[in-house]
Amino acid sequence: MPRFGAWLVVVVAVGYPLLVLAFAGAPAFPSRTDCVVAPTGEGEYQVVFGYRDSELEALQLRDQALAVGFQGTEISRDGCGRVRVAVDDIPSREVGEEVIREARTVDLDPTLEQGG
Amino acid sequence: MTVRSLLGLFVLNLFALGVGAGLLWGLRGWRSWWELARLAGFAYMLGIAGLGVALTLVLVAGIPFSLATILLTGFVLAGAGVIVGRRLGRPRPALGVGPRRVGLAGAALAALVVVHLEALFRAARLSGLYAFDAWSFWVPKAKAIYFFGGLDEQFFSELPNATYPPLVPALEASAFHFMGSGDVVTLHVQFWFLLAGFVAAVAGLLATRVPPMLLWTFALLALVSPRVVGRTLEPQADFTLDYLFALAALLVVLWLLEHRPWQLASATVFLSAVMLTKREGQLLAACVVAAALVASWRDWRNAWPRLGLVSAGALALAVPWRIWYVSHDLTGEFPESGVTGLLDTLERARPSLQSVLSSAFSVDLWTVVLPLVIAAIVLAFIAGARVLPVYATLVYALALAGFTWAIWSFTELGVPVEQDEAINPVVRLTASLVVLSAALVPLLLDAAWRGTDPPRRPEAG
Repeated sequence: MPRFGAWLVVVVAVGYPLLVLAFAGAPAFPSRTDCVVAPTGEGEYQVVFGYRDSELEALQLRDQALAVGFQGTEISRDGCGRVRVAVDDIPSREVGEEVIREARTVDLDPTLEQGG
Repeated sequence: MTVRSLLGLFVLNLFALGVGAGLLWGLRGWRSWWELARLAGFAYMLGIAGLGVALTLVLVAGIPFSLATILLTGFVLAGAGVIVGRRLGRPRPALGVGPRRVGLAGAALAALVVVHLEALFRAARLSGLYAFDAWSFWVPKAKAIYFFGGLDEQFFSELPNATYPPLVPALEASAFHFMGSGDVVTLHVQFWFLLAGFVAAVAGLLATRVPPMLLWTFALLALVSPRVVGRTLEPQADFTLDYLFALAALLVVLWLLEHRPWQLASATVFLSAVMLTKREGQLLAACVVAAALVASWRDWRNAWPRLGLVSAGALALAVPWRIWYVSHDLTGEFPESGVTGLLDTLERARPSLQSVLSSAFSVDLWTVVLPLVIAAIVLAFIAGARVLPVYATLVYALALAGFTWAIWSFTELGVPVEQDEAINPVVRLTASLVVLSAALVPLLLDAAWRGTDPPRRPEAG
């Protein structure tokens, strides 16, 4: 009886997570894209000029954006190990898209994201 | 910057492994290099516990906390271990025979554990500092130690939970020193090292004692619990406490079964680290010692004085922190109702017990771990084992009773008791029992299979 019980415990211990996987699907692991929030809701937006691995690289991109007139461009940690270069406090989607159009005329390629 | 931080953490943890190996050489020694490889995880966790306790004492003594202090403290610990080992005349290790065959099922389960850890490593590298307690006081304490070079009384008194012991902040501050900055993202990787170290420590200690199938099944089951997956990498003390507690409890039960002095000596280090990690560490350490006292009652003349010595040693290492915060007028160590005020709030007893049990047996948090613990204890007892199931029953029962007391005396928490962990610490408390199961259930099931207490291949040394 104890030997059968021991086997049963092992079977349940292995089988339970497998059943959960079978019915609930594979687990999701966080990635860098989790810190990129698509513009889906109300509120403020941000125009993101890009992400860089180091503050030094981010400062170069920020200076490039400032040099062509995008005042208020700042760098900040994105919480996923990268540095974000962006203009915050964009009041509406339309304004954000206008900023992006202007940026593309000076060889920048920003994206619109939901603000914090 | 991230690569430099990662390299810094790698060096810190290699250093902890070296410190632990030195301590292990003094406490136990090893006959072969293969044996050391098997026990590397245990040596690492011993190094973490030893360094954590020693750095806490360094902070309490007011010695400036710098990279040189950390290195010197580690060298002193490792050197002491080497000197003790020499004095005890430990023989020079041979290469030894390689590991025994694991079998297909055991190897597959071990591989799944490795894959799981690899996935968690990638998550750790990219984790922001979002855990409330972590950014509220654990990491600020660590930053204060890192930037100010010690315990800043004024800053600590402004933070929540000022009397929580500083072992984890000291380890985090050490991580900042080795990373070269207060990088709170890469800091999560340090907690991955602790998780991996714990798994390797349990595997190393149990590899010669239980079949691989049992060992890796329960390591994997504990690891894939939703709560462990979601919270184990947070840079706060909860899971660190659980690893240290589980290893202390495992060492004590191995000593009850095998009576090797190094097991009890190592348990002393882990128990003091448990008490210096969080307040509830004192409760958990008391549960381990009380369970061991009862489980060894047949052999009380031999066992009880040794267990008393372990308790006294662990307490002696934990007391200086208490003296420090009392002498600096920091408060908040005891629950609002006081230690004896429970009788005034008797109506809270039942809801508190319900809160603890519903958390401990929550499938959403811990899958089926605790029901399987109960099954393993019953099976071991029916099969004829005694010391192991009695000890396990008491550790779990006393801890559940202790957690009930903690919730009962936490009068800020209204009745009915909310399970929301923003206001109720019960989920964090019960995690310790789930982590412990990864170490105890394989032993219990092995005892159930063989119908007797001692493991099949007891440890030498």
